[in-house]
Amino acid sequence: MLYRHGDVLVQSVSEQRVSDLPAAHPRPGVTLARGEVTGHSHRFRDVASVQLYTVGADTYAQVLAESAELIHEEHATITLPRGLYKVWMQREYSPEAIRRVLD
Amino acid sequence: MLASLGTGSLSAAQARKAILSGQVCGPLSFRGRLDLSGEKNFRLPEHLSGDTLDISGTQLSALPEHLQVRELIAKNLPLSEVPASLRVQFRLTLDGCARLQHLPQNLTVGSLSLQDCLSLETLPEGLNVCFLNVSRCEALANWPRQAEVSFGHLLARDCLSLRGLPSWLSQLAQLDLSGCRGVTALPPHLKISGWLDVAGSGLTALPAQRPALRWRGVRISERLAFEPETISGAEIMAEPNTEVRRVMMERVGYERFLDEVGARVLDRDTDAGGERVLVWVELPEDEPFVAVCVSCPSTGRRYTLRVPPTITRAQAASAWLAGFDEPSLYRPAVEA
Repeated sequence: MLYRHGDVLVQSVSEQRVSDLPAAHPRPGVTLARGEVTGHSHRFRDVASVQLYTVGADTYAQVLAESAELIHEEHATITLPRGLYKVWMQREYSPEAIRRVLD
Repeated sequence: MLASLGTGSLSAAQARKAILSGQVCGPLSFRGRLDLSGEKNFRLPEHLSGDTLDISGTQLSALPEHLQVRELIAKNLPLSEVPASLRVQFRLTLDGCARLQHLPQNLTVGSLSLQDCLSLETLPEGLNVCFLNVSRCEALANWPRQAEVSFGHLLARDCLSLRGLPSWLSQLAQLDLSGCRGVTALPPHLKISGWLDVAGSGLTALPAQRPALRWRGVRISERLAFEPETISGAEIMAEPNTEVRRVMMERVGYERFLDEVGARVLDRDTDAGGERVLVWVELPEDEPFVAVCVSCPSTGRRYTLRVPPTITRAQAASAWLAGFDEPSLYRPAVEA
């Protein structure tokens, strides 16, 4: 299942486990992305409910509780059930290169 | 100081064979470029010294004590720190070490590259380098009280947590602050002899010293950098340099650009935010400008986002933006 939270995309990959991911390293914090203009951020409400992982350049979020709330100052809250999720940012086309959208 | 490379040192090939066999213990000295990148299941001996060592992508989670080399390339390793006994003379590359949190105090090296070190929140006290690259260190928020980055470059592209530059920064050839929204001013005594890249930074005026300006590598004028509201759509269409024209479109804003030049609607539908429109503008001697105009379902705010010119459907544009090259695979269950 695919979730869209502003420019953050979150896809359930619950058929996988963290142990299946090669070289997954725990990442501190529960913030997925921060808007550097506003200081607002896409983050999980409860720090105990989620563990983030870095796998190379990819980010994964393991929801450890029954569910976890993905929040942002301006976007409606999305509730993610327990499971493993891949997280990435929306892209924007530039003739020179593909770069991250900065909100 | 570097260990002297006496006649007792091994060639890089001999050292590589000895290390991969697991039959080596330090001290060990090598000549030339010792490339162990991508190798697995080996350990480096303590007191290893030599010219260039590449251990990128090896999954080493710690560096040995008393490693002394002229150049160390250690990209994409799960290091959380490097030992204080490490000595690198010319260039230390730790790009992509996403777990790296601590560097030793008084680290001294000619060139230090820390690109994509996502967990790094601060740099060490007493750091002394000529060239420093901290691009995309998204957690980097604190500078040391005393350090030196001098005469070379400071590349800090997309450092989203930075809120300023340190007062000890006094002389640089090049400074890249593109994407550093939180950096709104330069240290008053900073002299830049080459260029300053201000794309998407928080700077709103040229510093008194007036260095040459760049916008993500494109040489631009002060007006384009800081007074984009004075630029018209007609001026953009008349600009002969395609690179500068792209920057002009970005600075003016796609919405105003489309309003002023008259865009053709390619496709129109609805998504969770409401109406979604794909528009097209022919550009002289350049690929067409194609963009999708959407509304955020939470805020109602309107966004215009550029997409590849091969896209002809609004849904395919949203799919591409979300990372899906195959539009049918993009089916968000929840959008907020």
